[in-house]
Parts: sequence; C-alpha cells; structure tokens
Amino acid sequence: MAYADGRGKLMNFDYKYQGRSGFSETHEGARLALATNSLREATYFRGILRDPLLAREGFGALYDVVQSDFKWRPKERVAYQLWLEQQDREFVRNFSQHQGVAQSKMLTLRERLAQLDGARRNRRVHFTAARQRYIRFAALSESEAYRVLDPVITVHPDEMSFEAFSRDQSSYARLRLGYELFSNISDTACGTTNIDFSAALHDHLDRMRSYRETAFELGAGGFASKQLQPDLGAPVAYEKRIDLPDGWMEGFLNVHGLMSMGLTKLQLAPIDALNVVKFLLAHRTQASPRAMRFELSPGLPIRIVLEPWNVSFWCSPLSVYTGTVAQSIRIWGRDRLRTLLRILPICTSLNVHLVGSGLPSVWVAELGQHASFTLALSGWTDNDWVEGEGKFDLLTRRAHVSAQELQAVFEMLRALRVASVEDLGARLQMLEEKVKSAVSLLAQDGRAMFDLSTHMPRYRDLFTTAFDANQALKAATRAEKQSPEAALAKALMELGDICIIARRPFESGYKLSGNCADVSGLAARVRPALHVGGDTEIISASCTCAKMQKNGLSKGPCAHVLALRLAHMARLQSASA
Amino acid sequence: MTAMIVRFFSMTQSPACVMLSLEPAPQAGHDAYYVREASGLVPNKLTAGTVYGPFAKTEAVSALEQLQQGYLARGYLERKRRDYLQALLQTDRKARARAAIQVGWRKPAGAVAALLKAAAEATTEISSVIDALARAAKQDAGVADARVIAVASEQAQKKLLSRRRSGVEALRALSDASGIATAFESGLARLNSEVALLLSQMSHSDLNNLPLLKSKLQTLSAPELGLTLDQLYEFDTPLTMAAVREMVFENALKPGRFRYTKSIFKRALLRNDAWMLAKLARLFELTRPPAMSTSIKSGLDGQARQSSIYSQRTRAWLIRASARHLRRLGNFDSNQSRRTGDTANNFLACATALLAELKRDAKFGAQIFDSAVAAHGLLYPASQLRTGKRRLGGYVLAKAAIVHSARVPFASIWQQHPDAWVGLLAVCEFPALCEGIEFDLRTQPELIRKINDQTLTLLYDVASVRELAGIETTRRFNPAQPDLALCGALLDGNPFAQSVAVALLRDSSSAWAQNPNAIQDLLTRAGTDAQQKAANAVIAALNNQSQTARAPVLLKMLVALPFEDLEAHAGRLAVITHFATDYPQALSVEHLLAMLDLPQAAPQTAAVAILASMPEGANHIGVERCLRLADSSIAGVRRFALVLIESSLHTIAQEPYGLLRLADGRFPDARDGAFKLIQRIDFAQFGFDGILNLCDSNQAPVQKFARDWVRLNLARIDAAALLLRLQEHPHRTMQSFAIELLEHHLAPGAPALARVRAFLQACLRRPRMGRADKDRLLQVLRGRGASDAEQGAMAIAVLNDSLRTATRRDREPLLVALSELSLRYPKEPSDWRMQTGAAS
Repeated sequence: MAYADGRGKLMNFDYKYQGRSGFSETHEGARLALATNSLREATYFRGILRDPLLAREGFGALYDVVQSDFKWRPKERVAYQLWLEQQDREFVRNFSQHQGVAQSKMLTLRERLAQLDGARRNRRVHFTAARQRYIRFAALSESEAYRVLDPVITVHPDEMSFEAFSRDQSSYARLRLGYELFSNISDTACGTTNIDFSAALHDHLDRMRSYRETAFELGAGGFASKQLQPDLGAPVAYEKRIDLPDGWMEGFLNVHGLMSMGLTKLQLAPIDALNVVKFLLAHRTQASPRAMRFELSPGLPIRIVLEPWNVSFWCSPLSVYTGTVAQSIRIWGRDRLRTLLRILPICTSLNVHLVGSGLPSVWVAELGQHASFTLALSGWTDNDWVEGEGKFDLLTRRAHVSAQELQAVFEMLRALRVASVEDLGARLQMLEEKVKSAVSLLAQDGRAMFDLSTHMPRYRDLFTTAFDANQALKAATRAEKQSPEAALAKALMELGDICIIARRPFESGYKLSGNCADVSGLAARVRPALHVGGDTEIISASCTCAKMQKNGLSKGPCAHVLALRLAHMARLQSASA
Repeated sequence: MTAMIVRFFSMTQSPACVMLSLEPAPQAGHDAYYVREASGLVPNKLTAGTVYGPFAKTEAVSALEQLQQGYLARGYLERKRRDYLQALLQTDRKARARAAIQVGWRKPAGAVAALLKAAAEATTEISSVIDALARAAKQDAGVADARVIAVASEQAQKKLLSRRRSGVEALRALSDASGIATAFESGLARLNSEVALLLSQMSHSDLNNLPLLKSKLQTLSAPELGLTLDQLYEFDTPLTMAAVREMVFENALKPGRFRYTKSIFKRALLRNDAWMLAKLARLFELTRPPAMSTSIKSGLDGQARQSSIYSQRTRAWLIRASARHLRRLGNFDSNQSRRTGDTANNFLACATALLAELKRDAKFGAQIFDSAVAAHGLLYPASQLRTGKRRLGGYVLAKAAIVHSARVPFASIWQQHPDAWVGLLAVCEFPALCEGIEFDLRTQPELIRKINDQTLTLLYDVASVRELAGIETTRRFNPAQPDLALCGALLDGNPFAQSVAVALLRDSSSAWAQNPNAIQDLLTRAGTDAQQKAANAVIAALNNQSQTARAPVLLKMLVALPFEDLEAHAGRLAVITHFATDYPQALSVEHLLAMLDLPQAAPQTAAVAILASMPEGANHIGVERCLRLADSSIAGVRRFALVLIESSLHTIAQEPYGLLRLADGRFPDARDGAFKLIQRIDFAQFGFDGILNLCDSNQAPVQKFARDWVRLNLARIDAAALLLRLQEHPHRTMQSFAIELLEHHLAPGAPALARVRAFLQACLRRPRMGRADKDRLLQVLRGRGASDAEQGAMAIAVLNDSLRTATRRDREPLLVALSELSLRYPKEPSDWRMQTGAAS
C-alpha cells in the first residue's frame, strides 16, 4: 500500500495471498479458512465456530454491502440509439423511392430480411444465451480482480471485526464477532490485515450449518495450508493490485470521525426496520423527496415516515424516544437499508444513531450478545464517505496534544489493543480530554477505530508504515488548514470577533449562543448557536449565516459555529486552570 | 526506334551547347515523334529549347536533319564520343584517376593494356587504376591475368590501406588463390595477436565459433576494432563476414572507426556486396555529421589536427558514391551480364537491397525517407538527382508521380526481370514504388504470369495484390498433380494464403488422399494454426473416403505418432482423434493416457470417446478419474465420461459420494447426467448424509432434483431429522420445502417445536417468503398451539414477535391465529389484547 501524504492521497493497495480462502465440508465437519494478506502484519486465529449460522448471515450481509452500488447512473441506450440511426437511414432511403413498384419491392425484401433475421436469431438462441453467460462470468472475474472487495479484518483480544466499503463507497459495514462465538481457540495473533474474499467463497459460505462442526481459520496460508503464520518462502497463490480512488482511506477515517461524535441514539425492534424495508422493496417512486423521516416525540414510540407517500410506520413500544426535545430528522439514501435484509430476521435489536437531517446515520444490528453488524450510511448515496463534502472531523473536538503525548497514547493503545478513555488516562497520567483528542487524532490517522457498541477506542492500524506522531500531527494540522472553515474560525478567535452571549450547562454538555462577525460579509454580525457534548463534540448547531441557512450541517459546520466552540473551549480551559 | 540524340558545341557562339533529340510521342500515335531542340551554356544545364512535332517517323528524321544542317552551317561542331584511353595520358593525376574509373566500367578495346601502362606510371591514382584493372581484366580473363595479378599483388603488400584494399580486392575479383592466401597471412600479422591466434585456430566455415570471436573483438579499442573489422571483411570467409555484419554498424561513424567503415563501404562497392552496400548507404543517409570536430593525428606527418572526420562533404560523397555505383551498374555491368549470360545481375541485387532499406523510419516520423537518394537514382530520372547538395525530403517523394516499370531508369532491366520487379513489393515500403508495381500488375496481366512460384508466394504478404496472387496460383495449380509443397508453404503463411491452400487441397484431394507420406508432410507444419488448417483439409479429404480406404493412411500416421511431446504434432493428432473411433483397438492405453494429459480439447475428447467405446474403459483410468473427467471444462469429455461412469455404475454405487459431488457440479449437462445415474442407484445407498449433502446445494436445479427425489423416497428417510437440517438452508425454495416437511413430519410435543422455533420466527419475518408458505406455517402453529398449553405458549410467542408487521396480508391471518390461541390460553402474555364489546 502506498501512502503519499499525510492526509490520504492513497494510490494503490497491494494484496498478496499465499493461499486462497475457501470452505470445505466433509462427513466429519466443515472448515472455513480465510487467507490473509501476507504483505501485512502476521495476523491469525483458529477456533471452532459455535454458531455458524450467525457467522454465515453476518458474512452474507457484509458481502451484500460490499457488492452494493446504489449510485444512479444514466442508462447507456446503445441499442436504442442504433435503432434510431437505422430508422433515420431507412427514412432517407425511402425518401427517394417515389415509384410504387420500387416501394413494394423494397417492402417485400424488407419482410424477407426480417424473416431471415428472425430465423437467425432463433438459430443462435443457445449460442446467444451461452455467450451471455460467459460475458457475465468474465465480467465477474474481471471486476473481482480490480474491485475493492477484500475486507479489512482486525483480530482484537476479545473479538474479531470485518470492515468493508460498498462499491459506491457510500456504505460502510462492520461485522463484529466476539470470542464467545468460538470454542477451542488455539492460535491467535492480534493485528489488522485483509482477507481474500471472492464471490465464489460467498457462495460456499451459504453451506455453513450448525449441525456440522465448523473450524474457523484465519491465516496466511488460507485453504491450502494448515499453517497460519506466513511462510515467506511459500509460492504466492494470488496477487492483485487495486488502484484506489484518492481519499478512499479518508472514507474509513470519516466513518470513525462520525462515530466518535455525540449521536442521537434510537432503539428499534427488528420488526420496525423490517416493515420499512418491506415497504421499500414493494414500492418505488420517481418523485421527490425520497427521504425517510424520523418523527421523535419525547416518551412516545418513534414514527418513521416515508416520503413522498408520507406513509407512517409507528414503531413498537420498545422503540420509545427517550430524548427531551421533539424533533424531526430526515435522512436520504434509504434504499441502502436493503443490505440489512439478511440480518434483520435474525437480529435481536437494532440501534440507529443519527446526526441530523441530511447527515449520515449508523445502524447497529445486535446479533445476540456477542456479535453485531454495523452499517454506516453517508448523508445520501451520491454524497459518499470518500468524496462527499461533509467533513465530520470538524464536528469533533481537538484539544492540543503534543507529539510525545500522542505517541504515548498510541503505544499504550497498541499494547492494550482495547481500552476505555478513562483507563488510558489513568495509565498514562493524562487528562481524559487529552486522551480523547489523541484517540481522535489516531482514528484520523488510521491507527485506531471507535467501537460504537462499547464506546471504546480500539487499536486498528490500517497501514504497514510505522507510526510517526509528528507526521500525524502535521497531517491533522494540514487537514485543518485545508479546511477554510477551521482556519477562519481560528482567525475569528484570534481577532476576538466572537463573543459568547449565553452558556448554560445542559444534560450532557453545554448549550451556547454567541455573536460573531460574518466572514462572508453579507451581514455585519451573525448569531451562532451550539449544543456541545461533554467532550465538546458538536451535537447540534445552527447559525444565521447564509451557509448554515442553506445547508444546515450537511456540509459541515460554519466558521462561526467553530469559533463559538473555540471560545467555549477557552472558557473550559481557564475554568480548569 | 528509340530516342536519338545529337549534340553540338561552339566555342564562339551562344548558346555554347545544343542538343537535338528525336523522342517518341505516344500520345499522338504509335509512329509519331517529337524533335526537341535544347540549348544552354554547359552540356548538363540546357536551359532553353523548343519542341517540334509530332511528326511521322520519316518527317521527324527529315526535320532533325534540317536542324542538324543548320547548326553545322552556323559553325557548330558535333560533339563526338570521348576517348577515355587517351584521357589516361593526361598530366593531371585526378583526371587520370577519373579516366581510369571510366575505362574500368566502359571497358573499351585495349583497356587492360592502357591501364597497365597507366599503373606503371601512376602515383596517388594507383588505387583507382588497380580498381579499374580488376574490372577490365575480369572481362578479358585469360588475356592479361598474369600482368594484372602481378600489379595487384604488389599493391596488396603495401602498408597504405587504400592501396592494399585495391590490391587485395583486385586479386579476389580475379580469383587469384595464391595471392589471396598471401594477403590472408599478411592480414593476420596486422591483427591483434590474440585475435590473430584465435582466427588461425578456428574453422572459418563453422558459424558456431562466432560468439567466441565476437567476445574477443568486443575487448578491442575503437580504432583497433575498426582495423580488425576491415581486415576481417578483407578475409571474406563465412565466419569473418558474419562477425563484420553483426559488429560493423555500432559506433561505425565515430572518429576511431569511421576510416575503416568507409573502407568496408568501398570494398562492398568493389565486390558488389549488395547487403553491406545497402546497409552502409542507408546508415550514411540517416546519420548527420557531428557538429564538433575531433583532434586526430595525421598518418602523413604525425601532426595532430582538428578534423571533422565524418563531415557533411564526406557524407555527400558517400551518398553520391552509392547512387553513382548503381547508375554505372545499370549502364555497364547489367549489359555485360546479359551478354555473358551471367544470371546474377549485380544491378538488380544492389538495387533491390537498397530499395529494401527504404523503410519507414520512426526516428524521422513523417519524413519517412529522409534523403532517399537511392530512390531517386533508381526510380526517377537521373537528371533529378542532386545528391548531397539538396535535401530531398519524404514530402517531395510522397508527392512524386506514380512510378511504373516503363518510366523508371533502367526500365529495360526491370522489364526483363519481372521477378525482381514484382518481388520488390514484398521487401520495399516506398509508396510510389509499391503503387507503381501494383499498377503494373493490374494493367499488365501477363506480368504476374511471368513470375516464378517463389515470387508469387511472396505476394501473399502484400494485402493489395494477394487476391491476384491467389487467382494466379489457382490458375497454375494442377489438381491432378498437386504441388503439395506449394500448398504447405501457403499454409505456413497468412490466413488468406491458408484459405487459398485449403481450397487447392480440397480441389485436389482425390490425388493425395491415398498418399500417407504426402499427408504426413502436409501436416508437418511449424505453427499450430497452420497444423490445424492442414488437419482440417486432411480430415475433409479423408471424410470423403470410405473407412477401409482411409484405414492404411490413419494407421501409418498412428504408428508414427510419438508418446511424448504430442503437442508438437497437433495436426496429426487432430486427424487421428477425429477418426479415433475408426480404430479403437489400435490405440494403446498408454496413448490414450498421454492424450488425456494434453491441454487441447480434441485429443482429450477422442481419448475419452475411445475409452467409452471399450468394454473395460473405465477400469483403465479408475472411477475417481472418470468422475473428475465428468467435471471437465470440455463438453465432449464430460459427455463420454458420463458414459464411462454409467458403465461402472455398480462400482460407483458402493461409494456414491463422488456422484453426488458431480451432481452439484458446475456444468448443467454433467449435472443432468449425474441426476439420471443417481436415480438408478438404490436410495438407501446414499445414506442420510449423502441426501442431505445434495439438499444443501446452493444451485437451484440441484435443489429441485433433491426435493423431487426426497419426495419420491420420503418413506425411506428420517423426514423429521431432514427437516431439522433443512430449516437452516438459506435459500427460499428449500425453506419452503422445510415448511412442507414441517407440516407432516415434525415430531409431536413441545421439544420438537422448540427446535424449529427460530426457523418459524425468521420465516414469518422474512419479506420474501411466499404467501402460501406463511399460511402453511401459521396453520402449523395454530395446530400445534391448540394441542397443548406448552406448545400454545410457544406459538403465541412466535406470533407475537411478528405481530407488528405493517403488511396487511401478513398481519390479518397472524391476528386470526393469535386471537384463536389467545382465547384458548388467555393467560399467555401477548401484545395483542382481546376485548369483548361489553368490556370496551
């Protein structure tokens, strides 16, 4: 994998597998062996699956997400255009055919030609069908060779996680399998790598059954080898290089940036989500808006409204909104929920995390106590995680962290693999604020991830290069500098053009309002309002400036909101001092 | 009557030079002529003129004579043929040298004697005189040999390169073996001692020594290498010539080397070495002189001087030299060749080699033929030749008129050698020339009939005329006595040539189909494609024969077929495999096994087909291999493999797991075949696990077969156990089948219901589960729920889980079932509350 600069101009991914992933079954039992990328750190695991069905459905859903592409693309009407051209030619040809005899002769010939064409079509029907089958096969093989298909797998001390992006890069999926789902765990080495995951393997996985003892092996050799650790002298069975779109990795970072924010959490019964998905499967519309609206009233069950039909789904009593303020949140790109179809019938509960209207949402399906499936959807399908305009890292907070502190947090997290912020703070004798900022920086640098179900950071290194705290800080600073809003906010703060009008502690954090000079120059002053969490992450925000009036938070917070947060952070610091 | 030219000159009048000529006027008729009067200051720059006519022949001659008389009356003198022998006596040594060269080429009577006299008195022009002597003496061989050889031998021993070169080349031209041997020894002495030793020890006819010689030469410095290469060229043995050809062009024009490169070029001119002449001439044309001069030590006085070794002037001379040499060959040498009956025409050889060098040069882009002097000398009238003084770019040449054999210089030579003229098409890329030859081929039908078979075969590589070649080949071909060598050569060619060959073979098949040797030769081709084409032709021919008639041919082919490296004999193999069923007993099992291991489809198919026709075929390769072959990606192999499996069904029935694996394979035909075979084996033989394995398939056709098969044999299987397994199947059709089994075969009691509870729950939730299945499932739940309280509680819990479905058609029957059970077990918790009218 090449990593050109700090903020993610990634050029390509190299995959090298010493064996192929596979699934085999005999009378005695079954064996699922996943080959890991031998160019990454040695990561392996061996155990017996206690619930193969759950793993099967989880992998199936992950594959559905990876395969999915919901971006709208205009149809290529090649055949229609050819037909039109043919009609034009016919017209021009007939235009000069004035004589009736010639016309009738032409008509006879054309009929005969049509007959012959029909006969040829009939004669070639088997050939055409076979050719179509071959083209499908070739297209699948070709696309698999160059597709970003292979999930990123991380073996943690307590669980395994499989992460992947959809083809349209607007959906992120993570399958978590706890160690409790395995028995006879023998060989384990924590780490992050890729696994060879093909369409054929997906087909084979459908043969997993609970009545057959299924051995689960994750290692370098894959199916052909019994050895889990990489054998550097072994011949390479499969190798591919994928040119990644610029910033693909940034998508990963954006997702975890979002997850570390304070989100509105809703709990749904699986049947509620199923009702919505079933309706979407049965109905399609060309009309706008095609949004899914969450009507949230304190103490009442959640109501989901599908536009433009305005069909309401009252959720079950389990799905009661526990917030204090009634609100309505609209999200788009709802068709992507179809990828949950395989999971919903077997999941025990479904947690939905919302940021705001037009912003991403995260759907966490709990598959019992020890497994979960997370689906993070970008604001809408075309606004994908990678190239979309929403920059969520601006919403998260950043206290000053030195390179030494960042390095210390990295080292500790790598040693522990998973730890709470409090635990890390206690071990390193650091303030929690600093630890949170450091974890946020590590997530942004691809060295850590944020587990939404446990709210704990985990070590997950996406890169093969050594971590350099100075480089990571430089990259973060560069990112902030690249964001004009962040730069403007800093300038406003330094010039003293922001003042806090009201600041009151709230349920979990603070609610603020302020007065700020308008950076766009359209008005003299604007009024930003902000709701921040305990970690000063932005929960909701508004401003009277033109940008926020038009886009809300869907394109990130404006400079005034960010300046207000900086002012609040300065107050917090002075108070603690 | 050809053109007639009379020249006049006057030292006192203007214009000084006049030329009167009589030229044919083809536009005006067969017997029409122009009379042209041209005048100017110098003979080769006639600037003014008048054309009279056209006249009839007699009138034209009369008009010419009138003009002639007029000029004579005005005091003009008629210009006579120059006396070159007299010119040898001039005082200017350069003039003597030029005269000697002219004498050498023109060979007037008494030339050798005059040249010998000139040689005796020559100073610096001795090289030119010796060169001329060699040319002149060659013609008059036997008359002045001894004298000429003595003079040449004397020069061959000189130290100075030019003299030694002229001397040795003269000895070679005169075939003086002893003189050449002496020169060889002297030459060795001049070489680097290691190279000399190596050369003296090596066989000069064995080209395997070439790498060793080359490696030794590569250790030499540039000047030493240049001298050595020139000396090797002088030796003129196969080994030394090969070494020179490979090494002379690299750094050929660098200061230390150029002197010797030029020497090799001059030797090539003297020897008429067409290949070397053409390569070096093209090298000089394409390589510009360097801008910087070099300091070099003079051989004359030992002083170091600045000199641009390969200057623009030198380059121009070299370019002129090649063009001039060709012109002289055309004017003098070819005539002599014809007179002496010498078929090796130097002009044609050198011209063809030079024209072949006129290729598109990537270095020069659009200007494809940068100077193309040779093209001008060979294709356009000599008057246009301005060598070395004016750059004649590709643009000028591209715009030039189409050339055809009647308009090119030395047209008569080309017309007398149609093979050489037409053969240029295959070697030259010069557009005007190619167009001209095509023009000739299309407008002169007799031209293509004059060329030989070899040239005709070359035309198949030229896209624009290959059809003409095809027609001519077909015309010449005699189906009764087919030229199979020609057909083979065409089969080795491009697809068009192959198609012609196939047609010829088809038309003449009756003449060769009984000849095993001819067929073997025909099938022995270099390329796989050619082998396949030949094989198809042979198969078509043999198909027309009866089985008895073709048997000897096939058997002979079979006997000659090796066990190993069968891929190299793809043609023969294709024929044998095509007629494999003709002689199943003749092919040994080893043959068949070897054929099975080949990657090609045909031999594999044939081998399996033959095995299938044998009573014990399956035993030869074993059941496991039969099963593997039935899953082959080759359809024919699969078909016959199934026959083999069928023949050993009783063996497979003992352990039918492999057959089940085949039934769940990749290919529909193999699957269908396996299904049929499975049905012929006793159901019990497969065991519960085998049947379950088939049901577990992910492929819809296999699932359908499994369902139907199980339904037929339901009484012989533990349906309840199967149900508990099938409930885990992820596919809807098999889940539907599980519901079907659930209806009738679920064991009674709450524990059995508990084991399928998750399945029932998931089915009710699944959006894509069919209506009928859901109804059947509800029916089961109602029935089981009604049977006892424990099952009732379980059924209520399952129904309650999906109670909040928003799909009306799901909800209503579910509510009915839940209501019924809730009424029966009112204490069971449920989200659904029944209230009577009074209560509400």
